[in-house]
Amino acid sequence: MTEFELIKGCIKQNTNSQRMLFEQYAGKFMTVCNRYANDVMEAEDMLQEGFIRIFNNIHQFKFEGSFEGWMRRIVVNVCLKQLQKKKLQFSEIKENHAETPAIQAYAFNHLGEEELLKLINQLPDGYRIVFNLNVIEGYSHEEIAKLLSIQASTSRSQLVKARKMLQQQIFQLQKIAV
Amino acid sequence: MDEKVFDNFFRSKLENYSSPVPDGLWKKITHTLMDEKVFDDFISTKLENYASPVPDNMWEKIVRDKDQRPKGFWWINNYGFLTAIAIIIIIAGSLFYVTNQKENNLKNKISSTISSTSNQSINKQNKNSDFNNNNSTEEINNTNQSTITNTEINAAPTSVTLSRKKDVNNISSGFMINHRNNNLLSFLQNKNSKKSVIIPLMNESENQSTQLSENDLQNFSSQKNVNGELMTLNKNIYSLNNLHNPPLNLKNILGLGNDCPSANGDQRNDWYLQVYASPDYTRKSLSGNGLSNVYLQKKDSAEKMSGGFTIGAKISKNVGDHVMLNAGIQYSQLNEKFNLSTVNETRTTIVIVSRTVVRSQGDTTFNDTTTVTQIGYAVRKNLNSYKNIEIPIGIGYEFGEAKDKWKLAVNGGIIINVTSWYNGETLDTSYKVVSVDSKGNGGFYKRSTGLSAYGSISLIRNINDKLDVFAEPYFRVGLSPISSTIGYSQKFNAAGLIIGVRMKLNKKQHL
Repeated sequence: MTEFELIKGCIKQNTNSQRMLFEQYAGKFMTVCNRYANDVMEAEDMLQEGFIRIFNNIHQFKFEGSFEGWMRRIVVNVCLKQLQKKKLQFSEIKENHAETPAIQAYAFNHLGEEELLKLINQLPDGYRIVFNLNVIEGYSHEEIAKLLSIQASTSRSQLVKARKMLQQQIFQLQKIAV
Repeated sequence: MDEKVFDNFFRSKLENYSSPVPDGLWKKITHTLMDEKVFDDFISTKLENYASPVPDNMWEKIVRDKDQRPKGFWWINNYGFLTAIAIIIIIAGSLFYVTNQKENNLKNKISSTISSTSNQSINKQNKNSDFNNNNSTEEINNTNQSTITNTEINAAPTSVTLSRKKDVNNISSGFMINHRNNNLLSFLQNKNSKKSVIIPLMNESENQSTQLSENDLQNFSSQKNVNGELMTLNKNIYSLNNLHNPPLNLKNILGLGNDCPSANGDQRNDWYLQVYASPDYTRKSLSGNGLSNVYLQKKDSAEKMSGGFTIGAKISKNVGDHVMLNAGIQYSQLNEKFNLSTVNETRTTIVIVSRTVVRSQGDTTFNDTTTVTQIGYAVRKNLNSYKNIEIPIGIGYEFGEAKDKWKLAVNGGIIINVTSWYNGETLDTSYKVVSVDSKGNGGFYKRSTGLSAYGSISLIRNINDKLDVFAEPYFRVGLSPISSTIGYSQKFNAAGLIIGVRMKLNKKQHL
């Protein structure tokens, strides 16, 4: 079944088509939810809500651009909405390290996806969301500012801090490994 | 030195002054940027398409949750459902119409019976007796003059009077229906003596349609000149009264039965001219017979419906007090944005940055190669329009009385397309932009788009005796697809809000 047929099937609320769509994308979107959620339970709730939104709004897809991108935006929006219920705070975290240690490229080449997800999950909410939105989803700081109702400069600084913190965590892992 | 001179001095000194840049700052910046980019790219590449394990029961949870939630406006895109609703409205309207017609026929028959029976009985009275107990004898000389015709049965929502012709000078007789307590009263009045006797003939609660109560008989017998034959007349009046309590039929089950005929005759008989306009929200469904999905997807993504409008006029007529038939002519236009992006030019730029590290053992040169690919898109935009002349034919059921300030009506029907013409552009199967102008290439699409079904609910506000305004949310579903010369077919559906005025054409006023 082509993507076009799959979408048409889902528009007609065909359960088989919906199931196929779910099978095809559930894993990828679970990763998305894992990146935003604080724990697995929350990620599952986000994924469930995300798919329900996709099925309920699939008739609005105009066949313009990537279908996966369209669905991913819905899932990300669901994640953000869930997180915003908890009143997100984009506060600055006090840094213990004055300078980020230099990490060799080979150091993080060995990191697997699950380890990376864990590292991202350890970031404070604000850092994690901005990092995800900018680095992985590809939103600009202006778009992030609009999405989260913050200043673009806040988004920029959160990203810098997030990156620094991640690099420090990777450095720690590197030290442990050595 | 005043302030201005002081400021100017500083500005002139520092405005264009370049401070010395620390050595290696540029390298530091590029390194940082490169490091950040490498880091971001790494994470992004790793996680962008990574699929995490999904809990086993996730699908079941989604299905359960999906089924429990209210569906919202899912039906807007369910064309089958909308068609079914339109068909139901049409069938229901037709049923009401048929029921009304049967009832009218029954009324006419009974009225004729009353007419003939009353002639006979009044004649006999004329021969045998006086009509008043004070012996002021009034005679009816001519049988023809005493005929009660169907056209003389006047009715209003609150009362109905069945009267003799005006040329019967001495006696006027009739039947008055008290609408509120639903009693049918018969009265016989002698104008000269100014005495009248009113005989209650039926009480709804007792529902005695074929028997007179003892009291009625006594009242009736107080009229010395009333004989047994007049009783026959009364029995027929009871039969007429049965019209107001007819046997179970669809109208009565739904509680929509006609209480009384109107003052315009035995039925409301209004003609209206409706003039209306509507902004439309339009949708298109595309299907291709044997055409590739890639082509259909490309075409579908290049074309986006951008609304439309309908203007028209209808003549409508009441059939019965509530059913309304209408037909007219309308112009509708559907607009569509054609927006096609095609790759026009691709430019690749290779940037090589050489860095030399000076060491005691010898210099080392690093080359960083960056490739930048720029893709130029050609965007073709156009506004397509599909214009139609159509004949809407419909039936509606109006709730409420004719003179109510606010009325609600449900309507349904079909729209017959007379002709259509088009202009704009589309994509052909070789992905070239082609014109769809109906004048230019002799018909890219069919000129007649067949049938559509529509359904609507209208809210009518009475302004005065001659004028109503109405708002009518409606939807229409295309039943016949418009086929193109290259194989694909498209159906159009629309929803909108009709705003219009309704002018009464007949002169009769409702009492």
